[in-house]
Amino acid sequence: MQNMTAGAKFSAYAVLILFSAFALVPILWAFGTSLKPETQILQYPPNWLPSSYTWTHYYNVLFRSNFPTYFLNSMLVAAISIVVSLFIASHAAYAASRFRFKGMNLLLFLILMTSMIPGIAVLIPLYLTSVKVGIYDTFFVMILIYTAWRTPMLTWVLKGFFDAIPREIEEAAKVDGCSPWRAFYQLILPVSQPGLAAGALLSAVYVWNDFLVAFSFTTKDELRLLSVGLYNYITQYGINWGQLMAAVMISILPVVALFIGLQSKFVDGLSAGAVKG
Amino acid sequence: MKKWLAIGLAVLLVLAGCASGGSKGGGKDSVSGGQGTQNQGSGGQGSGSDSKKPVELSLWIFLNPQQTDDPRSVALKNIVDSFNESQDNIRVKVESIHYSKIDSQVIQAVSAGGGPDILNVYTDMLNLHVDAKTVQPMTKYAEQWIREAGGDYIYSADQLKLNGEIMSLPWEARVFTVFYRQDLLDEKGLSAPKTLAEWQEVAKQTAGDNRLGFAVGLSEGANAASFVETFIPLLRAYGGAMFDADGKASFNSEAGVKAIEFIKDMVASGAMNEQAVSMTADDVTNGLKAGSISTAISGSMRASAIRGSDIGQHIKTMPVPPAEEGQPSPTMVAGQTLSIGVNTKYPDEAFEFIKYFLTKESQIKWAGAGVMPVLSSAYEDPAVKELATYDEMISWKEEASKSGQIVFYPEDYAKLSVELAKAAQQMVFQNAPVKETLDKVAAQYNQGK
Amino acid sequence: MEVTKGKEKWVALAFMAPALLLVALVSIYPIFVAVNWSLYETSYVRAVKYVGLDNFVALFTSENGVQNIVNSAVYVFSSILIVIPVAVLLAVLLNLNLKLRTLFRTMIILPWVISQTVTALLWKWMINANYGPITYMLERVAGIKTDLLSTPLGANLSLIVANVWNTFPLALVLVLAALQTIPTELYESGRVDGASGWKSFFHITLPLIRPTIMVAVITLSLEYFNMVTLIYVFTGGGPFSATETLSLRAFKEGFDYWNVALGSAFSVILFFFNILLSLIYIRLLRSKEH
Repeated sequence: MQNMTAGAKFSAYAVLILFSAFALVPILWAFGTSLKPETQILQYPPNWLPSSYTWTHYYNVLFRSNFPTYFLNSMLVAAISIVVSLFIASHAAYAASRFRFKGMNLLLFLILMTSMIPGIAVLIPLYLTSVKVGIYDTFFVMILIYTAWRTPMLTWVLKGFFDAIPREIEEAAKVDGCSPWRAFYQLILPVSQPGLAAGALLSAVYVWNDFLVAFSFTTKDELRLLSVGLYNYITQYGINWGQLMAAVMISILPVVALFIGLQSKFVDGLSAGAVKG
Repeated sequence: MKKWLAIGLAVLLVLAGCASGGSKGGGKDSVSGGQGTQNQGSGGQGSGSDSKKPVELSLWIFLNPQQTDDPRSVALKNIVDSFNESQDNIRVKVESIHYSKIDSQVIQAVSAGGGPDILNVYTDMLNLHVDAKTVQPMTKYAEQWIREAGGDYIYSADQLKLNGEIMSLPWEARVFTVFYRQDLLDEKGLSAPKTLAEWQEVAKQTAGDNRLGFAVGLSEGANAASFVETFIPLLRAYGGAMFDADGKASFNSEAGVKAIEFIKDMVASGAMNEQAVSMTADDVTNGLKAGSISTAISGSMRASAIRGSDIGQHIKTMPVPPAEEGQPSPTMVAGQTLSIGVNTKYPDEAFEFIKYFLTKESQIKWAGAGVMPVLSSAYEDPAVKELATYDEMISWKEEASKSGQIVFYPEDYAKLSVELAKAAQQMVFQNAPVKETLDKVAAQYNQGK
Repeated sequence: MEVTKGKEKWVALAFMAPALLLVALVSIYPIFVAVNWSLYETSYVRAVKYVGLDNFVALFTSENGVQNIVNSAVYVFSSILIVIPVAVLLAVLLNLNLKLRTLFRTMIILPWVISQTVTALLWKWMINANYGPITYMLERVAGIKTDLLSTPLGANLSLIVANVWNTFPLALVLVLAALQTIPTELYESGRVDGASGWKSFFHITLPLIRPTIMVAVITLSLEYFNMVTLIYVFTGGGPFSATETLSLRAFKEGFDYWNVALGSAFSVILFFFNILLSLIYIRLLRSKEH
């Protein structure tokens, strides 16, 4: 990897810049809109750079609405969902990876099959059940559903990562008298960090952006999540573009922070230690 | 390690449970479980107005009192707070639910045995709620209140009856009217069109490079609101009606054909083009605001959004012109209403609150927020007269009272709207034969009725 | 692959128990309820009359039924065909030790963090024929006037682009993480054998990340097949029903028109397509491995 030609390096940068532009253009537009006074949004010809700046939209979003509450709610629900789903999925994935027998394949398929159920199919039945059981309109029900819906995919992803870890590690540990549980927690999990990091990110983004579940299972404003809160700016009287964009800009930050924080897990290669023992 | 993980998880889960539990039980505002029959039944709230503890009612509405930058939400908050302060027996708590989902939320909640005590229902959706049995009749209360209001309320009891019962009371009104660019008319030396034919001419002349002279949202998204908001006034201007007395489709009449032809002519003259096929009501609003549409029919409630730009300042409104000068062109009127939830234990108290929404003081607050009040006396108030939009509001009120009729659309209105919009796309842009296509939609709609 | 003995089977079950319980309660039980409804005629949320498979037949006899399925297929496969190569390419590039790597990585995954509703609103605005900034720039720079949303082809293309924009980071993250788990020794030994650049990519990297790519393909396919919000807000299914996918149709019937039975039936059909698709993919993966 180190000895790339100058030409190769140049084209690599070119491609990256191209795609960064593709990724960023709408977001820059959103950002610009969030700074424009309302009367300048939606004018023709369209301006990429606002001719005058204002922070009113951010002010309104942060101080004159319940946005901060929605934000914190989403953080809480996302954090718990990540932890719980990674916990459950990593256990199941480990079993699927290491313990192979006929029934296992069936169980694995069963779990995976549930991820093929369209959310809209089960939304109303789940709603009715949650009311009957009394967990409607709580954080608990949302966390429960998010976790259940993410577990299959996470299980599969993590299984892939576990499959890539050589079994020699556990063989060696077994010889030393280590139980499968200890092997899992102390040997396998620590070297699965890229996989776990990817899984955490997948859960986080899913919960952060989900709308249908967050909307259908809570009515109280205090429990409202961010994605539903954003909808407040789409009113029957028209769309509040300035505030909507400001809210979107703010809501991007935590996931970006998470991604940057997890960067260290995405570093080059498996550290040699695991394989060489 | 395993131990700590488990403990950590347990702590987090407990916290999650407590967080939601806490806001359910405590809090400075009174809480009434948004839907929970569990809460209402077991709460020990007393048997009615003569218990010491105040009765707690929930109001489900699309406005969010927490959004203090929105004048309507502020008005709602004021009204609810002053109601709660004005007496000791009843406390109302607001649950805000997005307008596009509030109807389905209510239906779901009621089917699970819960639902709100008071709910906000848009007139177009009232039959849906009646059919789904989410609201209860309020005829006795309403008739008495209307009698007491004298002629102040702009509606009469008969206008509000569905199958002989009054199911809700409108607390605001809105008309669907033409929005047009006065500055463009001035530029071309045109005056506001007095007939539909004149409108064709105005639209043709005010179209430009990046501007449609006329727009109607033909998108099948967003329940095709923009299409029906344009089609129905045109239909009426040509003397037709959507449904006949038996509730069967009657939009495939000669008037319906002419209404579609009107739209087709706009395309033929170059005033409109295929862009309309992807437009929703919001796109029409945005287009007016951005100056890329010069005339369109939209709802009066969108006026302030439409005017929220420099170009938008030049936009004026006028009633939909008639087919021939001097003929009637009945205005399409709709409004937000309040109903009593079917599962409430306190219908009397619920109606007390609904009455409060309809007092002169409350109506003046609504007027100040840019909402059309439903009490004539509210229009007389000096503070209301000071409003910049006063003249326009009065003209809208005149429009509304002239046609004087709310039409309550049937419960399958959403599906019909979308089918009509899809048909319109074909008729306007794919040369589908107008009469036959309208007949097909009508026949499909009438199946099983 | 060794066969597991009896006692170890219990350990395996213990590891899997929480996952099994969770999905049984939250996914399996409700789908049975939905299937039940699909066999009835419903009035709002109450099953009223047993109609057997009528609701399912309705999909194929109704005007747009087959069109919905075709639209779904087009949407899913076009998006996958674009997303996967793009994601793999970017993952490889972002795995290199280039300067500003973290910055590039962060910028490129930003679209993922935007919700479907906002994505739809933003893109719809940007490509608006009259006041959209992108169409404006195109006109200024290249003189082309575009009106993407008013033709079936244009609408489909725009929708797919917006979808790709919003979802490719998912595949990117998965492949990137997979690349991270390839020990660098493999590349070094490969270089010793004379392989470098493209050769090492095709012979070393690609085979090792193939399982992850397959996971990404399946995950994204399922997501695309079931996607509602982006399409609902972006085109609403139009123009001329050209973008009305099966998932959107199921949603509209069940939630907008309150025909819960029909919506459930369409969702169940969707469910079966999902399973079929995944089985096909898995079969393909297995055949390639052997």
